[in-house]
Order: sequence, then C-alpha cells, then structure tokens
Amino acid sequence: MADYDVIVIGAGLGGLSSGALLAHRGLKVLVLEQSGRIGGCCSTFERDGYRHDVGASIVEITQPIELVFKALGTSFGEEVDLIPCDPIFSVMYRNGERITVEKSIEATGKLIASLDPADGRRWFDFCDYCSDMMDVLLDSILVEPADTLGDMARVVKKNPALLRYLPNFMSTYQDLIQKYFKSDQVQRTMAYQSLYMGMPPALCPGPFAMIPYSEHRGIWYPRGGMIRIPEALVRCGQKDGMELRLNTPVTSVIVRNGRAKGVVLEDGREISSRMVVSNVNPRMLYLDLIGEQHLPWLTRTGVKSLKYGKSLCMVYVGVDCKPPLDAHHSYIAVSMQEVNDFWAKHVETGVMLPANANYGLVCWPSHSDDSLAPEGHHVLNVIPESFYHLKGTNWDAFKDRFIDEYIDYLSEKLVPDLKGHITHAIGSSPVDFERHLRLPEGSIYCFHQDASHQAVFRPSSKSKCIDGLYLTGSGTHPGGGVPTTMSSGYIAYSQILKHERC
Amino acid sequence: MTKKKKFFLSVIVVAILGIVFYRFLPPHRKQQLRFLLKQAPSLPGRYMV
Repeated sequence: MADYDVIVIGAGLGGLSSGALLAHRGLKVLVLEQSGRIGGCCSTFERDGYRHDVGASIVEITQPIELVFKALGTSFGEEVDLIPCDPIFSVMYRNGERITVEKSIEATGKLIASLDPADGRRWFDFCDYCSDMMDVLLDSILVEPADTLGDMARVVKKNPALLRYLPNFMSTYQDLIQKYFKSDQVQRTMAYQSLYMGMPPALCPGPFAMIPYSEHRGIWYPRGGMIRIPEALVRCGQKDGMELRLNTPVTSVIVRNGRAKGVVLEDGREISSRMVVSNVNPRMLYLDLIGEQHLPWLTRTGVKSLKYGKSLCMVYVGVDCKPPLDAHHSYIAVSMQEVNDFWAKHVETGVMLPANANYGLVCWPSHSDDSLAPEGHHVLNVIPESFYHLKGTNWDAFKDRFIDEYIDYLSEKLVPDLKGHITHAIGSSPVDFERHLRLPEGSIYCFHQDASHQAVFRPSSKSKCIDGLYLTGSGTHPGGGVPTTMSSGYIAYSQILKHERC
Repeated sequence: MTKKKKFFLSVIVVAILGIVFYRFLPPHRKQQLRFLLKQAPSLPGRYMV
C-alpha cells in the first residue's frame, strides 16, 4: 500500500491549491517543497524589519481564487485580509509629467478624454467589450482543462459565447488596443500591462488586452504581504490533514509500467503514492525528474521545444521616507513599439538597454499596507526590464552596475532623491531567481504565453504519457499569474477527480 | 501545361501573394508572424506534452 494518496512536488500556488483541495476531498496528501519558504513567486520575506514580496505584487481577477477557496468550504475574503488599491496605477513620463489612473471607469474616461476626446468616448466601448469577454473567459477556458482538442470542443459547447472571442487568440494585444485608442499618449498608458502576461504587445494574445480594463474591477493587496495567500491555502489544507515538508528537494519521480508511483528525495529516501502532482517547471519535470527514457519521441521533442518566457530582475528597496509616488504601481510610460523593439532587438542580441532608455515598474506595497516597514519607512520593489542571456557578460558580474545605474536614473529623473533615502537594496537577477526558486532562466511565467504556448500547446494538466501524473503551476494551462496559477491547481484537482478513483 | 508546371506555377503565385501580403502588414503583425512561423514546427510535439 502506498504511503500517500497524492504527493505534490512544490509548494507554489498551484501545488498548494491542488494539495489543499485534494486533502479537503479526504485524500492523504504530502506537499514537498525544496526551499524553506512556501508560495514560490507569490511569497514574502523579511529583512531588517522590512517585508518584501518576492515577485507577485497585487491580486486582480479574483474569480479563480474565489473558486478554489469556495471548494475548500471558505472564501478568499474570510481567509485573507484584502486591501483595495485605488488609484490603481500611475504613469511616469520621461519629461517628469505623471498621470494617475483611478479605479473608477468614469473618472478614467474623463482622464483619457483630457488626453484625446475621441479616445475618451471609445474608452467606454472598450470597457463594454472587455467586460463581456472577461466574463466569458472566466466562465470557460480560464477554469477548464484545455489539454486536447476534445477539451477545447467541450469548453466551447458549454459556453458557445467563447466562439466570439477565440479569434482574438490569433490577434494581438496591440491590435485590440489600437482598434479602440488612436492617441499615442493614451496607448502609452496601456502598453506596459501586456508585460503582466510576460509578452510584448506584438506577441501577447488579444484577449489579454482586457487587462487595462480588468484592473478597474479592482486590484487588492493582502495585508501582511503576498505570502498571506499561500499561507491561507496551507492553513486550509492542514485543517484537512495535508502534510507540508519544507527544505525537502525531490530528485526524481518513480515511474513503473508507465505510471507515477512516488518520488525519490535528495537524501535517497523513496516515498510512494498513488498519484503525483507536479508544481515544478514541466521541462525540468519531464527531462530531469522523470527522464527522457519514459517519453515517446514526439513528446520529448515537444518538451525540448518549449521556450522560457520573461525573466525578472528585481530590487527590493527599503527607504526612510514616504516616496514621492502616487500609487501602488507606477511605471515608466513606454510606447508599444519600444516594448516590441526591446524584445526584437535587445532580448535576441543580449545587449541591455542603457538605464536612461530602460523602462519598468516601481511597486510601492507599503502605500497599501504600512505594516510592511518600520514607522515612517517604506518598501519598494523596483523592476527594470531585463532578460536572461547577456552578450559578453553574465548577471553575477553585471547585476550591481545595472541596478546602480537604474536607481541613479530613477532618482535623477522620475523619483526625486530616491537614492539618498535608501536604507537597503537587495538585487535579485534572473540568475538569482533561477537558483533560489528553481525557475529556469529566471522565467516567472515559465514558458512564453503567446498563441504557440497556450491551451493545447502548453503542457497538459493530466500527463499524456505517464498515468497518475498531474501538472499544475505557471507551466500549464492557463499560464502564469496569481489567479491563473491557482486556476491550474483547481484544474489538476478536477482532472484527478475525473480520472482517478478517489 | 503539364502537372509539374502547374504545381510550380501555383507555388510561385502563392509565394508572390505571401510576400505582397507580408509587405503590407503593420510592423507588430510582422513580428508576430515571424515569431509564430518559428514556433510552428514545434506545435505537433507541444500538443503531445
């Protein structure tokens, strides 16, 4: 008899969601996490009295999260104290001007009209279109398995309205934004959000153009830091007997007769189980933990062809004053073409933009939650645009200079005197994310999220070549991001209920 | 006209139409098309993962 019903490898949001849901269903669940902290990219750490978020910085589009907590017999609001963020973001132009965007759709309409009256009118049409598209996607493809063409047909049959929006997956974020907004200044307030999906506007699929609208349905910050979400999942899971072991790396998945039968730990011990849920990167899972010998040749080719997506470089900053910013998120205004060019020229050649031409995001979590820093102090997460493969250097040699130059530029031009008030700054390059979070190439969304890495072309939630193996996390459908990763946990759970005797 | 000639003629016509179509695409659509064409050979394998 197996030691556990289910072993979950990785305590990220996907692994914890499926683990807690399966435990709630009465299964004996063990979650194994290689690091000493839960949550993966959605986590928080403390340094000198300041609490910094590792990666994810806000929560929006909460329906998939609500779905998970509802299935656990509770609600998101009961488990996590959510602070609404309003204004939702601020745009910093390089000439020093700023625009602050409030949650209110009407106020934003007036703001856009002040930049371009015709675009101001079209803003309301854009909101109507995106509102309907968002409801349809959230009721269908974002919470259902999309492993096969049969799954896709079932999703469409269940919600035929999806047919109206499927062609958008072959258009781009830029197409949809430029269909509604003609002014360059207005487009500059909506270009950066495509990177929330890890892709530039030219490559990001059209449906994600709903993000500039979806933020107006609300964005929230969990009081105490983003780690409150995985902590809530662990709390719910442990009530139902879920076991969690930190600092326990898995070196391989035991496969016998084409079925996952358990795992081998770094110290050589074997733990057996009826099923395995993987929350690790699917390429790493199939090539390193399982081994190519268990994969048919076409699967092997497919696994190797998956391209890692956007890398993250982040600076965790503590300051001894209230920073001169206007919102939880502030980003440097950038045109769609500049973001596209960055990907087409700099990412491909490995030559980084100079600091004064770079763009990026400054996140100010203590604007929403002042408990994150000592009294009168604040925390900032500074996120310059970056990539993994550098030409002629490496991140260990390049990181400090890159971060210094970027902070200097912010301090001189956009966030006056920031540098003079910094109490500490901890840089984390794509290579650091790779080392500490086991994110190959520092890719926070795992693979690209373009049409060729979406739905049936993203690794399946139910393995197509190994029985009893289920996948969750940003490397599976519906992709990276807090709500979508939790949705993948729910999908893995529903696949197990459908295909296994529980 | 032989079958072989017809085939080559149709390939040439399709190629010319493709080039004309590509030339009139906006830059971001060209970038998307180039990216997707590079990924296209991998799709059957990805479907099996």
